[in-house]
Amino acid sequence: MMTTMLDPLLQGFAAIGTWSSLGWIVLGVFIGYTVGAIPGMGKGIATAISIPLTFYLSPIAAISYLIGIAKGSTAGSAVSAILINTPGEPSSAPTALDGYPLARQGKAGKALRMGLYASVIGDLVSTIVLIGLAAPLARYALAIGPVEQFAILLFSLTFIGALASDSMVKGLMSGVLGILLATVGLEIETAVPRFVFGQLELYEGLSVIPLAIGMMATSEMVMQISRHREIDAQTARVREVKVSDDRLTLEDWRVSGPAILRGTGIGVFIGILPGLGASVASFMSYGVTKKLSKTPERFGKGAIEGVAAAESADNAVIPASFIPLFALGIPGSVIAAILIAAFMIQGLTPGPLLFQQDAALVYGIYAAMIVASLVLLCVGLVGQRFFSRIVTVRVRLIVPVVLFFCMFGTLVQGGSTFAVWMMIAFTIVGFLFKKLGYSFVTFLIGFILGPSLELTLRQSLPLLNYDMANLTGHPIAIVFIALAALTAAIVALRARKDAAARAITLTQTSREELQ
Amino acid sequence: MKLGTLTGLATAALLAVAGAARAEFPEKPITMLIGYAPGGGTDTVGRVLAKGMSEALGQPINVVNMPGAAGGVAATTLTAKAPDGYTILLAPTATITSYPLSNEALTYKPEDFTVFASVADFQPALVAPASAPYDSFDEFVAWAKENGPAKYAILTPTSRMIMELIEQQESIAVNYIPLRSGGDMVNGLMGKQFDIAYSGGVHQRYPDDIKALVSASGRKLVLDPDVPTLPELGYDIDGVSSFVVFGPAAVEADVRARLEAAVAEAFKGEDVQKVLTNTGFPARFVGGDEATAEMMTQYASDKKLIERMGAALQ
Repeated sequence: MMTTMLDPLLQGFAAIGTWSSLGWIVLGVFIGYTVGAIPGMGKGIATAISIPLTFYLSPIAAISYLIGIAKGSTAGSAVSAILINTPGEPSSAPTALDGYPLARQGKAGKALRMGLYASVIGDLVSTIVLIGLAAPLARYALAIGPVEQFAILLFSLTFIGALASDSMVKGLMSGVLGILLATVGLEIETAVPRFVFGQLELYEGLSVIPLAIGMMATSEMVMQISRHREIDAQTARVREVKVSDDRLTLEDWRVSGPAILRGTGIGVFIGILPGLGASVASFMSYGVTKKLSKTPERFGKGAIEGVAAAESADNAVIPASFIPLFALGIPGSVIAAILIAAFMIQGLTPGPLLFQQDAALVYGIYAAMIVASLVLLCVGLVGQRFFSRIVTVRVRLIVPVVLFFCMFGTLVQGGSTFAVWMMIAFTIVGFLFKKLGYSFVTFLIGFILGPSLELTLRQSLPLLNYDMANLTGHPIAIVFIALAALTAAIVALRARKDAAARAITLTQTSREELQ
Repeated sequence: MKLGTLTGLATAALLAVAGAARAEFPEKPITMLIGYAPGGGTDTVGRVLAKGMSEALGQPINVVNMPGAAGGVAATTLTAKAPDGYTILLAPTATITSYPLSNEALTYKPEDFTVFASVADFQPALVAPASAPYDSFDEFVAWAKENGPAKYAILTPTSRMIMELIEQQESIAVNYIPLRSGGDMVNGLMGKQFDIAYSGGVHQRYPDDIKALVSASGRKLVLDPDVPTLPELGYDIDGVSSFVVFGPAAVEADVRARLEAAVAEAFKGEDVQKVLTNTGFPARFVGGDEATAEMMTQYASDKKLIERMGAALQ
């Protein structure tokens, strides 16, 4: 078994062992990492601008290059999340929760390196899972239909919602608002337009990119400029932090190790399932790590394992989402869908036949993916030397540059100025959210998962023939619905206990006042 | 004086020639709109076609993905552009002929477009998991009567209407499961989540896992010529859809001819042929006039279908 696996893989390494193949992998990872590190730009834009280029490459170089971009940009988006609190993509939002506080404490280098190591480990392990288990795992993933997806989404939403916010009421409000905004556009089943006000641009619904950039990046810039003196004073202190405090210690590894392993597992699991995506994985991993921690109060104030949890899950999703692609020819993510197009242009049909007809190529791509992980480590370590200096730059220099990139990214990805206006509108919303203490995290999760939740519900109802009793044929779904109910019950109990505790304190105070 | 007039005339003539030469289309990059997200069948075909056309025209063609309303957003955008040939659209015929009939927000008509050419045909079919207990559409109908309601996965308004008509005609019960993409359809069929599904042609890539029961148009499936068509089985449903290159209405004749020629040249190219072969959409080049006629036939057929549905609902 092992040799039948290893032999072709070794030949795969031989196949990509040319300067041009390696060059394209390095270039892909480099472009991906850089674009990912720029706020407002993500893998979507990086792959979209690269597709025409791949017309002129050999299949293996083209696909390695695109995979390099996907891996690089996923890891790169942690950079802006940590350094300036503006995640390049929603899936890096939990990275910012602890990464940014670390950076403000002068430990940007530590956070960046842990983020990178977690990314590379998650990515590498997930790649190995892909190579070893693609075919058998993909068959199991097929058992996950709309009914199971709905149950998993319901659980994710409850779980993340319960953990992401300090005030449950405010967390719920933002989450529901996110789901509500996600209903804008053509209704999926009957194509009835909802909340479009005659605007043709709204028919496709509110696009996630301008919304996320507005909520996360530009509003953060407005926040920062409004207190630039304070941040600049902090920056001055950051410069005086001893280098030794900025190194990764054995203790950091001790607390982050389990988080990385867990994050990788969650990332692989979510990646194999179609339609969930990297955001679910990174939020879930962050939430679980916080939940299991003996010191949950450190989270949000610079807990290094928070960064490790989010980044390992985020990156582990990418190779795992290729499992259905390689094994069955089904795209599990947007990147995988773009890869299918690249395969087609190169005259290859992904799926089980590819292993028989073009096994050498498949193993070449596998080898390229392993190489890309290692390249990512090198590119990341070199890149961080330059990027980490951003922390010491004054706010008034950072803000205009970030705003420019956000505008530019929105315009390019949205294809029109409408997207830019939308981004500006959500900058205001994001600013108000932050000022009033509402969680933009639950809002975003609601917005991202809302449409999938609605769609899978609409699909599940006819699939179950509108009868709850038919759920008995879907044991996996039952498990996740039970887990969701359990989470909700625990949260409700905790809230009641808190309220009771508060009531007792109140009565005590009033008694004291009476006396 | 006379000499002056002559020189003047000569200069004017030269300028006129130069002017005509400068007006040679195209003198700047062209934009190709695609009404779907990157990665799907239309996008893939569009991108290779744009590359071939760009080589034929000597100007770059920028592909812009503009998803929304099953391609309706891109089509509406095109109608608002100047008919100068610098903005074109690659779309399935159905985007123009069918979707406005079922979506009030789309106000365009086939007359609002210039057809340059079409390059390939969709292969619409009703398909089932290979393991399903029925091998033909008649057997499916019999199975649905016994075991219904059948779980039917749909992608477009047209796919829903087709089954609604069959449902009435055969008095079977059907539950409609709306999907987002052909990928979801393939996934669900392989996982045996659905009993039957509408496919635009993507099923052909998975011959071991998915079988075609009936061609959902008046034409035979090119790769499955033994499978009957819906009209052959006694259902009055006809519909073909092709990959068509459109412009806004009233594009000048010479620009139109230039673009048609560019599509023809790109069509002959190795890349376009390779992609069409791989995606399983049979290559068939049809020039502007004939493709316009095909579109109008399709429009009449789609209108008839909608009217019958409306009548049936009342």
